[in-house]
Amino acid sequence: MEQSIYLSIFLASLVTYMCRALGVKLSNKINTNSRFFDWIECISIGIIISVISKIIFFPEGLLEETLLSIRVFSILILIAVYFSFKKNILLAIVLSTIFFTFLHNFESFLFNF
Amino acid sequence: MHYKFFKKGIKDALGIPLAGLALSMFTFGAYLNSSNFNYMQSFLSTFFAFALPGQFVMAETLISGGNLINIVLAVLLTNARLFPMTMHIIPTLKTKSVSAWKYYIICHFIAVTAWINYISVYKEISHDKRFHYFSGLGGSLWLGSVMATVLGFLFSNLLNLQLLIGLVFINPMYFLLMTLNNIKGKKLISVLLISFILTVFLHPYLKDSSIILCGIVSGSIGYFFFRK
Repeated sequence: MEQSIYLSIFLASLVTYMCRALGVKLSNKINTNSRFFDWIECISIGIIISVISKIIFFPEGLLEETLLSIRVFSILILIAVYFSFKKNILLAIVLSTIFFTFLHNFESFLFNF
Repeated sequence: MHYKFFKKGIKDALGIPLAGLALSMFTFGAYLNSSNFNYMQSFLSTFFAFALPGQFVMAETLISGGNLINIVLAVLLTNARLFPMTMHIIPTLKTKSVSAWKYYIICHFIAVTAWINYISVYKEISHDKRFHYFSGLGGSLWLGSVMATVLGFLFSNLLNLQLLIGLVFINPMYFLLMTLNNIKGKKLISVLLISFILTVFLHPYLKDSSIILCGIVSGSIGYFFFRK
């Protein structure tokens, strides 16, 4: 088991690095003012949005223990605070984190009341 | 070396970006501990395979009895997203004063947190200083992640689990706000909406490989329909 863990880490590292190194290799002749660069930018933003959506709707690890409704509601609060207070990121995150933690800890109380 | 911009990169990483990422890495360290990995393995995992979703997939596939081919394929599908993200960042960093091999070192720092933070500021930094800025930003995020993984492995039992769950949600919230901050115009708004809808519907069937697919499809639709 010990050896297979080390081998798995090695292979995962190699595969992860190859994804990045290939990106470096193929980006050699990309001009930042080109249409191709714009296209890559759109794809990258699409990927980021997909990552965020995945964490909110299909989380792994600790967040799996929380309710989807609480996660979505907290995100709506986050966006509302963000746009209501001149795009204040810190305030929006602090308030939403408090809200999310409160709802998660008292979910059984709130939903059974 | 443009030391001032290297330090600015470090300064910009410290705070919410590193806190959000470190909390996620901390829980990953705790997860490895509960999955019978040792602290050296938790250290090596983030040191060399720095990209949390791929690290999770590697550990989960191994624990569930997958063989090495399963692990390679699962990590490849999960981390394929790093390929276009790297292709997007590297051209903005390129300068004649930096040797080509250094980009193969710095690319190790490219992940979602570094990408989002860099993209929101790089246009305000002159071209020849971006490499140093990104070295400071990405390097400190990577180093902080390695430390957080080991700390999570060693001290996860000391923290209140319910509080930790609340704190882990900071990361996606931060990602979302930083992305919203960068999204302007019909093209990127359409990418946002299409990617969101596609992910919600496709992820249950395609799992982690849905991310690269949703990115390519939404990005291409947004680009080809709304390009000027």
